[in-house]
Amino acid sequence: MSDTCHPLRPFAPASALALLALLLAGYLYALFSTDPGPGLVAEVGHYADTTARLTLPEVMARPFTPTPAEYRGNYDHAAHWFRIRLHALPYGIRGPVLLQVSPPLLDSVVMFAFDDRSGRWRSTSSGDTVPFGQRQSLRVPISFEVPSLPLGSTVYLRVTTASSTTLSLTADSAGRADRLLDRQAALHVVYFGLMGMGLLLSALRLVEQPSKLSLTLMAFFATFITYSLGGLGYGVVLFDDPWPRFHDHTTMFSALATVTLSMLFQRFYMQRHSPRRWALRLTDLVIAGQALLFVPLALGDAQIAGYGTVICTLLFLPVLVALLLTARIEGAGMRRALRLSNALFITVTAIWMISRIGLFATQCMTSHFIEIFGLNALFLAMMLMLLDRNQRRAEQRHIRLSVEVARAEQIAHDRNASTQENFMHMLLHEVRNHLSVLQLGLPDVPDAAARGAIGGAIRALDRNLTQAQQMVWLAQDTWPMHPRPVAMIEALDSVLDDLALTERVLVQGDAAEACIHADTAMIHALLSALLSCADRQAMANQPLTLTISQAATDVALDLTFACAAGAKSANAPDTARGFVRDPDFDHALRLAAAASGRLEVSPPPPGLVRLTLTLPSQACVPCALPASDAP
Amino acid sequence: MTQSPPRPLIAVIEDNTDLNGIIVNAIRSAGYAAIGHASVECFEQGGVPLADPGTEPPHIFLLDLNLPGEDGLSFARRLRKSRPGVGIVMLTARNEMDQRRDGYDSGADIYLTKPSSVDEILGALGALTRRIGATTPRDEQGGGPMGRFAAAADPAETVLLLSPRKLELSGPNGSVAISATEAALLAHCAANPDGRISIESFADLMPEAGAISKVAIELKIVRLRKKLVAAGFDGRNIGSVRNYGYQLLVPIRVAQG
Repeated sequence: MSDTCHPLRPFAPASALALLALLLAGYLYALFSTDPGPGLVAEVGHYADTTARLTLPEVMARPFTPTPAEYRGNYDHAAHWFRIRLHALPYGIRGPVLLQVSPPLLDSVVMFAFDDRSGRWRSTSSGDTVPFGQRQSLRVPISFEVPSLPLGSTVYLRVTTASSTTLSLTADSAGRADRLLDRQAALHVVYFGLMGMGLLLSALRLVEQPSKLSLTLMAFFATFITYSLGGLGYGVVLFDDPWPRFHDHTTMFSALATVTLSMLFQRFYMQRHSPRRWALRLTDLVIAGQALLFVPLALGDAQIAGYGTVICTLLFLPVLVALLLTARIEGAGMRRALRLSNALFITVTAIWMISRIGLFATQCMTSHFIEIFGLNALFLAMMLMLLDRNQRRAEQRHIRLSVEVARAEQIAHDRNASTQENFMHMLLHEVRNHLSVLQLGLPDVPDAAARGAIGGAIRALDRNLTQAQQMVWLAQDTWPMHPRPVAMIEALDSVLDDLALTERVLVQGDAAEACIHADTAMIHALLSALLSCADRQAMANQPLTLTISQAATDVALDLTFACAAGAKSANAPDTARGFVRDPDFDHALRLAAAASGRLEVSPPPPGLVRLTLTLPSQACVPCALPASDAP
Repeated sequence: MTQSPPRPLIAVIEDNTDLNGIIVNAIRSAGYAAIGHASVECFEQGGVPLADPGTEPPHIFLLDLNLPGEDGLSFARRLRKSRPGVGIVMLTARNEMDQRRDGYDSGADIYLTKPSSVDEILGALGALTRRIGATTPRDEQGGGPMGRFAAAADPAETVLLLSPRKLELSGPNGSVAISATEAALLAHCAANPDGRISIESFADLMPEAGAISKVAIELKIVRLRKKLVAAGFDGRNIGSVRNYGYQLLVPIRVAQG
């Protein structure tokens, strides 16, 4: 309904998605433009010293294999040597060259550079002012100052690490590197601003709609900001280290928590759209596996935690696709927006994860992966919040409209009921006044037969009026109910008297004290309709046999008689069908349903009809007078 | 010299002029004094202000509920407050239980639904006349049920008089017709000192004895109870005796001849 009222509304999520994607793409472009690139790196050669014992002179004599500036190695205990030929600084630019090694996940990096003054190779064990072994975080970029020579220079790097030897080498003038770092820091202000906005919005959402989804979203943003602070090196700058490797541990734990919370908020979101149960169970399994990785990390095994995260994330992606495909998402616009935003998220995550297992370019994991992954998750989270908000609004609008429609219907129904009731009262009043005139004038009619006929017509019309009123009550569910114990024999006697059927109906059964808890007037009307119908349908001068029986929970009245219709047709269904067309029978059916009972018609042998009325007798206190004891 | 109670004056307040006229005529034909009014306002303009205790209002009001102006319920309430002793019969087209209860709550003595017969209306008027201490036209003639019952019954004791030949029961409220089977049942009770009748005895007394069932016997008793109530024996007039049958709980005398 809302879609038809607002033709632009289906495009709102898609437009927001496009705008947000455009902004983030622009931001990433700006971020990547701050990368120094290979810069002055002219050529890189690699030699793996599997013994890890060779000295520089020994290595220099070995053959180096040409390799790109982005190198991806394996987990081993070898010493990896890199021979790097650097161009000279362009004319007019002075100062040292800054050689940067990223990502800063390596345990030990030693640079050997030739010192012209001393004529010897000199080693620098860390590019930073802080000695390598005292670094607070392994994630702070590793930089080396290399003296700039007019004809360029050659330096050697010796890398040993317990993790995989994956690195990217860049070299530029220290001045340009500083400028690029300044620009990057400025862009990181924007990055943290965006993440802070996500945190704020999710916190507001948690206040507005407290739920597991809101809580997980907020926790996700909080941990991702922590992870980004550590991973981008700002944690070291902003906070002193209370104990060795505090920032490193914080970063690793927050990285794991970020992945886990990202899975959780997507699971909680998709759960709202009722995906298949098996997809949800699979998701839960993957999330449980991811959560278990905290154990090895706490025990100090970052490698298992890292590999485990890659495996869990790769498992989560197809499960997320299954959730998306099996979820019941209302509205084509919303479905499209949700799938597009998830497609982007899944693609980026998949590329990053595949790069982690070595099937893709090293660039993906060496350059700005924290920002890319963070913004990707931010984008998805924002989209989910936006879609969820739109959906809630649509639901609220729908509820509001439904309530208004229901209210309007109720008012119309009340008016209709009131009109019908007033009309019914007017009809009763007017017709019964005239019937009274006829009734009171009856003694003046000299002919007994005519008197009897007029009296019968008056009674029939009066009964029809009563029945019409009862039908209105039944249709409007406004029967003035006054339930109380009703002795079936007394009710039956009253009806038989009213219908002048005392002689025609043979009463049988042992349930002399049969009693039900019901509205007296309703039971009277029900028995009256039933017996009138039977009286009309029965063969002339044939008795109606009524058997009353009482079971534990109900009272049953079996009315059996030879049917007039059955005399003409031996076909049992014909007999029953003719019966069902009787308006009194229809009235009796409605009354039986209103009294929580049931009325069934069955033709036992041809020509006979059995009507069975069953009424509940629960909560019926004995209504007969108490019997005294026998002498 | 004793002065006989006054014959009651009956006010019929009914807006349907045809009905009003017929009722007034029927009542007058039965020997009562009756005046018809189309509404409560018409009645009050007729010079019988309810608030004036010095004036003599009608003894019995026959009121319609749906009246132009003040309705019957409101008037009955007012009437009952200012003149507690008057009799009020409500005659209305509404036969729902709620309406009846409202009618009785507002002060009605008897609630009749339209279309009522002349006999029903006169029966109600007769009952109310006795209650307010006036005499009915039939009492004056001495040929009414009360007069006949009074002649037969012991004034110190209220006795049910069974006339098997006429198939009639007489009591404080008058005579009621009964069937031969009912007469036989009562006669059987009267013949027993404690007024009891066993289930087995029904088989001998009822013509459909071959197919007699507990339900059929109970139905007979229910009908007989209603007739005893109509004759003037309210309350528990026939009791059930566990594992035996029934017991007539009112004194009975069988008329000979």
